[in-house]
Amino acid sequence: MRTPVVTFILAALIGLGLLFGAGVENGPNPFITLGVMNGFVYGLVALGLVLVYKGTRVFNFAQGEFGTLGAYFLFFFLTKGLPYWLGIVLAVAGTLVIGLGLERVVIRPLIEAPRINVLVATIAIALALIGIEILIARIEPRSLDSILPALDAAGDPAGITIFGLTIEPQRLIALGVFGGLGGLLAWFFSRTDLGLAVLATSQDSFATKVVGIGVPRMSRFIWGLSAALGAIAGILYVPLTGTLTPAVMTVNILIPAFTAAVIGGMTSLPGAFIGGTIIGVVQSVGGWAGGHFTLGEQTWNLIIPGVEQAMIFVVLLLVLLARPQGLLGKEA
Amino acid sequence: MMFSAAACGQKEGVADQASGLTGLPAGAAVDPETGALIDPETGALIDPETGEIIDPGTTGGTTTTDDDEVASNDDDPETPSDPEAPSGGDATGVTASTIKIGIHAPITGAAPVPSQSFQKGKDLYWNYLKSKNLTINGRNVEVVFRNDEYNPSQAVTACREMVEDEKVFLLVGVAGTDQIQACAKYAASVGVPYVSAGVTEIGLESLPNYFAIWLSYAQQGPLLADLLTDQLGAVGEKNGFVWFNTPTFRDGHDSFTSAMGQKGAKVDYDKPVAKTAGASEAQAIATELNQRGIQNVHILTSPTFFIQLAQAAVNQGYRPQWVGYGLTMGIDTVANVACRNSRSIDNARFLSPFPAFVDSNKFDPNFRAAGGTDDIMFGLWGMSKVIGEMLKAPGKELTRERFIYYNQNSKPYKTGVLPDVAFNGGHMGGTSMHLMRADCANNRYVTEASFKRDF
Repeated sequence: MRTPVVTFILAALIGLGLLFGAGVENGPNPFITLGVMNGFVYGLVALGLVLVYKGTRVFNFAQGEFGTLGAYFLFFFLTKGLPYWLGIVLAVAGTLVIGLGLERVVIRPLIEAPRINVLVATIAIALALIGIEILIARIEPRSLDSILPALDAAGDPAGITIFGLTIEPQRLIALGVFGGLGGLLAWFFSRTDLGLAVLATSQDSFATKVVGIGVPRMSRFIWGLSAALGAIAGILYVPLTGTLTPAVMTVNILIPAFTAAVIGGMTSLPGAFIGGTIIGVVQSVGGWAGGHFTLGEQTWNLIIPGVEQAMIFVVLLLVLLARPQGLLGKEA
Repeated sequence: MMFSAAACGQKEGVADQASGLTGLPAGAAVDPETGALIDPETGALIDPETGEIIDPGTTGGTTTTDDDEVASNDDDPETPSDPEAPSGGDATGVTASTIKIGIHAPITGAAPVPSQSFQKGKDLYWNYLKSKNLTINGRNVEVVFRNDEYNPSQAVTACREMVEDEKVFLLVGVAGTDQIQACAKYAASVGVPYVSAGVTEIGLESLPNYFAIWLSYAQQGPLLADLLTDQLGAVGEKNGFVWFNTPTFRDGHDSFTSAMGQKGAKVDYDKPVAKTAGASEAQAIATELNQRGIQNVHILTSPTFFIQLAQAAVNQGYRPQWVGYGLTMGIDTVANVACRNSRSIDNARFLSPFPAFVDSNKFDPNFRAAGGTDDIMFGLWGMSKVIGEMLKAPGKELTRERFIYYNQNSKPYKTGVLPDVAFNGGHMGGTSMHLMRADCANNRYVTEASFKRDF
């Protein structure tokens, strides 16, 4: 019941912001729109984090690197001349295989270990993956093509304009995919035996073993799915940034995604998207406000460097003070 | 015999330099002021592209050749006679036959530079000299290299290693303002000479051991304002400045905004950005620039952030005139990526301490002959030539104290690649800059103007 209420309140706040921003010269509406768009990317990565947390009670610091790996795989397959769609399939499959391999080699042996050990292991995985990316792909930035070009043949933007913001076709595709995946996962975890088994494993692995659910199988499933989700996020997001570099998703997305997951409640899949939207909007509108409002003769951002980052953490603090388990958080 | 580093007019050996240029007169040297070739017989300036005479009456100009390189094969060079010069001192890193120098640069981090270019380029010039049996007052130069990871504390660690473990004679900072500042301060604390790219002046100008070999950001500010107002029509247009909010960019920021004001142009959008900013911030800033109709944008950030910003801008159909200081924005790696992103930086213009790689033959054909294959190597080649001049200045008796003294009081160094370097008793040696333009038809930068003191 809480999910629809929180969703409604968030939508109403965004709607009010757009209403008040309408007609204001250099107003916030394009930034609100941009924030919502970015929020869905944060939400998808946060979804992977929530998934692993729900299944294993561990923050997965390697989640961002699954995205970077997926993007690098796609880049590699495209340079080999493969069609884009086939490149995506192979990139997701490749990342999934690596996710499964890491689960088998690093995570599974730690399945009975204290959670802090697993957490440190995920950091080690992230650092190792970044190192491998640098070793193989080198540090130079690359350009990863979008599924559909941002500009038409005449050089004009090919996307649609909403509230003063031109939204690229790639972003629209990403929006659709992220929304669809979110719905699919919500259904999966609430309506399927496998989804319920994953949740049961996270609550009491001993009891699930007793009833015949294989904990290693659940662990394998969670890490594979998490890697695939990360790859999809990377493949859809990196072309929007213009640069494919080692650790690109960790640097750009992981921290906002973590914050989104915490605000949403670490165990809630809808919460990941809601948290992502909040972070995206606060970050984007915060940046706008920093350059728009003045204190004395100076704009906020000249007085408080990184005002948008500060606003994110203010929001995080407020949410955690009011509701330490996050907006939609509860025991799985 | 003491070798004269800076020479004017025709020199022996220039025929070798120009002989590889199709359709140009044999023996033509390069005029570093214009990039034109100098006819050895008439002194006329000749367009290297067309072969047409630009200025029939001009004579002079300087170039560098095998014979008038900083190096010499004289095993017993004269020691400069200056009664005020220090005698003796710390000769760590100097032996009878070698000088060891240490270089740090970011080959990982937010200013990614192709690592193989650094690995090959760091000693390309020194190896070239060796292959020609040329030396710095009888010594060869050995290079130690460390990655500073675009991180000031890592830079200090790298510099400390090179000083304490590798025993280098001097340190060189290639790029990265915060890293250069951090390492230069460390070097000053241990009395090691420090030669660097032109970056901030904050905290560096007063260091006795510090030498910037091209214009600092504060010095480039008026030059860039000059370009914007006199060449790009910034007066009457909307101008923006997006810069990383780090204290070391403050003088570069202030000098530019002040110069723009003096030239009658206004900076309508002044945006400090956190050094940790990523793609999301880039998208928000591009939206804001577009919303406000900013036509010219001075960008002083990391190259990665610039690429992200340009990508976000072009995705919205927004193509401002990008401009900025040298060095890292103007490297071909940036053009190669950003141009592939819907030609997002086409015609972007950046000041640069060295010419574009594509034009390298016009400035120093020895570079490609020595195996140089990209602009990073060309920049390192140019830096090495200046450092060679600087190492040469104290004569055979090379100590840190004498190096500092003689370079502060030297005549200008002319290398034909980097602009002339003259310290005039101070520490900022730059005198002019090249201007690069992004040529997205070919995913690279081209040299639009050379050795510019104003526009």
